[in-house]
Amino acid sequence: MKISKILTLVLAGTLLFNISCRNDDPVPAPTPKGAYENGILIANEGGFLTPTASVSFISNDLSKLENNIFSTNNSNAVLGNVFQSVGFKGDNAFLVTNVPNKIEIVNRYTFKKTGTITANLNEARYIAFSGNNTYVTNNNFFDVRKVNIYDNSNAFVKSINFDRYAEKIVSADGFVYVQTDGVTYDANYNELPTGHTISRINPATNNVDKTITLTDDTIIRDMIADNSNVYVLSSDYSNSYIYKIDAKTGTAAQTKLAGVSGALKLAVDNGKIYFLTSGKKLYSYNGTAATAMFDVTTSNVYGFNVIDDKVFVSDPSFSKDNDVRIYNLTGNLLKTITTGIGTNGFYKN
Amino acid sequence: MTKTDLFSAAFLLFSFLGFAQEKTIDTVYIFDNQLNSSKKVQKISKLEQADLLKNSTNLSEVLRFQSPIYIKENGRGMVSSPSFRGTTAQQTAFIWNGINVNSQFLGQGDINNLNLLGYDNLQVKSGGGSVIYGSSAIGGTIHLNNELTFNKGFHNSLFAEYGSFKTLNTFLKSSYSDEKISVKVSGNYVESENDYEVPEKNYINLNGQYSSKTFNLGFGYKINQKNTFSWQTQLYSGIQHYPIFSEYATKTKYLTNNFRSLASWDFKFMKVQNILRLAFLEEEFQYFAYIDRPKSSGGTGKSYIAKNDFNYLFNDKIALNLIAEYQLNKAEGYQSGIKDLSRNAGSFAGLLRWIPNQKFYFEVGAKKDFVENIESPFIYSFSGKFKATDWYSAVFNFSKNFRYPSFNDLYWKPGGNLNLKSEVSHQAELGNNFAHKGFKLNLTPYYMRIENMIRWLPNSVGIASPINTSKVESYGLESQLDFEKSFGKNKAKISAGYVFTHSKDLETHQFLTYVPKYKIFGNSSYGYDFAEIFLQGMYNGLTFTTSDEKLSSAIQPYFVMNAGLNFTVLKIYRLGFKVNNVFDEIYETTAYFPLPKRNYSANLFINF
Repeated sequence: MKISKILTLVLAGTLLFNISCRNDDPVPAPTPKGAYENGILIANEGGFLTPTASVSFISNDLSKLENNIFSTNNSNAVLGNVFQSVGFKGDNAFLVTNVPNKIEIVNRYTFKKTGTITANLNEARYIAFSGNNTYVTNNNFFDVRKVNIYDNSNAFVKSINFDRYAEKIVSADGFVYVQTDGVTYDANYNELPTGHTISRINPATNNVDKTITLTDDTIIRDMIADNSNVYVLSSDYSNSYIYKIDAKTGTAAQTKLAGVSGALKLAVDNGKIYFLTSGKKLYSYNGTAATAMFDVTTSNVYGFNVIDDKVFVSDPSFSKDNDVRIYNLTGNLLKTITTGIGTNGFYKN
Repeated sequence: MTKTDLFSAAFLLFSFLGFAQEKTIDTVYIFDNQLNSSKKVQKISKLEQADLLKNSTNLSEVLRFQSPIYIKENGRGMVSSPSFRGTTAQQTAFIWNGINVNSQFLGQGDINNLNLLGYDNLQVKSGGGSVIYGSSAIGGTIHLNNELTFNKGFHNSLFAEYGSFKTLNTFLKSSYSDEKISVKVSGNYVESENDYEVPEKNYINLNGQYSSKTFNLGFGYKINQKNTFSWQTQLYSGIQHYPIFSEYATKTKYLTNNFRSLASWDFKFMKVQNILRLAFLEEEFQYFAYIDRPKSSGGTGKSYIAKNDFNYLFNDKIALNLIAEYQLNKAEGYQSGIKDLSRNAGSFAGLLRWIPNQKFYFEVGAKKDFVENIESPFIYSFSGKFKATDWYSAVFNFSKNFRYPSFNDLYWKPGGNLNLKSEVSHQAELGNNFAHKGFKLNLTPYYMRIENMIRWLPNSVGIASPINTSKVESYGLESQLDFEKSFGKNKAKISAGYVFTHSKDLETHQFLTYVPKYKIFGNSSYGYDFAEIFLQGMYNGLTFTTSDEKLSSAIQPYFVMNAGLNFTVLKIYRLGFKVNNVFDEIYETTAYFPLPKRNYSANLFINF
């Protein structure tokens, strides 16, 4: 055998070896961070009088559903009686409960508990994060309407009190927006607006630096945000309005949704805005006008979101596990799942 | 003048009334005169004071261990409601000395606020009774009775018990009677820290303390052979802190104040017996969503009742009973939308009783209620008894019963619905009674259908509002075996009940929540001379707690046993020891509210 052939063989062998070695090297293949990484967290409010609040998980492809993931992963710990909302910060999920007054912090992918916030909470509602701080609305619908601020180590910093309301809270483009008006009732239990304000907290000073007064006379129902805008939905049973607020400047632009009554819930997904009305009609909103999409099936409107082009709608009951219907954007029912009691929210994990 | 002043003044006034001496036989007066007739055709079990003291903690325990009823209790001593023959809490009527005392607001009896230690006996009547006892007497009625005795002289009893979880139960009862006058006063005080733990369930009964005090006064005066005047009054006040599931939950509390007063004039001459009653009931509750702040909701309800019960004996075979009643109900709520309510209600009922011979007994009853602004049905009852032999008798009942909507159902804001109709039930039962030597066996299968059931469901805007929606079908079997025997210084007593209940919502085809399919309860005691030992056992089968029959949320079957020892010393002193939940069973009667594990108490009972 010629030496050149041997060399070629050796070369080829080295090449092969190298290739195989490279194959053995840790290619940054995604290592799973936990069982709940690629899916949706579902908040089940609970029965109020019983500690039945729970969290469910469904995988993105809707193939895997697991209920009670907080209890299961934390030696059967009780979450609470009224589970209000979820917020995310880094690898952590913050589970806000209204009864009892606490926020459970868990790893969002494993759901192992990593901490608890209880200081100065009084019927906590929603949560947002900006910079190092955590902002939590509290509203007992009586004499407490405030935002509590906690630092990066979850220590209490201060409270900001509001006159009438403190409900939804979002963070966008370096500012925190608080829904500071909502619904109240007259003596005959007819709905009335408490007012029409959205307040902005500047995280640099942790003070309110702007109050935006909406220009219609209906009731503020919901507020969400994308990276740079805040969207506010207000309605009564004849008209609905959407406001787009530029988070940086705080300027609001109103769209009157002609002929749309009782819009209640907002969702944002892949840059598109959706809303659901008390008449169980789903609409999309393109920045200037709303387009009716389809009717959803539920006894009344409660938990709602649109995640990766899938529409999640809960059929609320507080005495038994709820059905959640999942539709695609053309209105085909993809799947009906059974979650927990009082399903009130869906969060992309 | 406050209630208490009025009460004391009246007491003094009556104390001065004549003490004329006229010899009459000693008798026992009970206010609820209709119970004696009902006994002939319906299943009634009577619990005497000695029975009640075996479960001295509260009325929930008594009914749980000594009756066929399921008691749903949110932790020991807390909110508690009954389910009788597979019905809801509003379909059992609590009858205080013959008067329906279910709450005007809730339509149900708040069992742990009905006081236990102030009554002389308690009777549990299975099956409908709306013709006589009114709204809510559908599944059955629970009768809380005070008695007045004549010609018994002075008598006092003192009971004091101390037990686990810093629980104190006490009462003092004094009575005096001669041929004409009977006075009975009793007071009781109950309190408990109630801080029990059930580590297996990760449960501590936080903020579960309670206390209550009651004052009862009974007075009877035999004016002459024909006329008797009687009066019974109760003053109750209770505080319950409601348990919380987390130290970070907001603590709450609930206050109850009740005042009940009943005056009765019994006239009896030849073939006529007439009883005229006037009653005043006042219920007050206050709920504090924050334990140390002003109340967050509450209500005061007042009822002024006049009732006349006329009975005419045509001969020794036929009697006609006519009952007329008028009520004025007033209610004032706080933060509930119930404002300055006033409602007139009245009813006429007639019952014909016929005893053709010694083997048969028949009773036919009919009643029409007139409740302002509420459609209420014409109701009726047919009963018959057939005594076949010395050892077997059968009773048959068919009746239509109702419950009218409560003030909360009608006026609560938000949601109250003024268009509600009364709930209506039709039911039939066949009671079989066997008796042989010391044994008694009762087997009572029943069937019941309830329509227009009121249920709070979310309306189009998501606010819960009551509507007449459901239909429920219940059937089952109640059975009870009793045995009693004395020989020499020995005395043995056994009583055991087996209950089968099938209760389904006919629209959803699901079983009703908090209705166990099976319940077995037993009580036995054996006494020798000065010593007595007793055992109580109760088995409760699988119980659904959610309306979708979810098995993982259901209460699993459990068996709880209690035991006790009593020693009588120097005739008047009785020393008692009890162990509740001997086998340390982990159990709940309301989901998520475990009841205590093994616990102890010791008591002293003095009769002099």
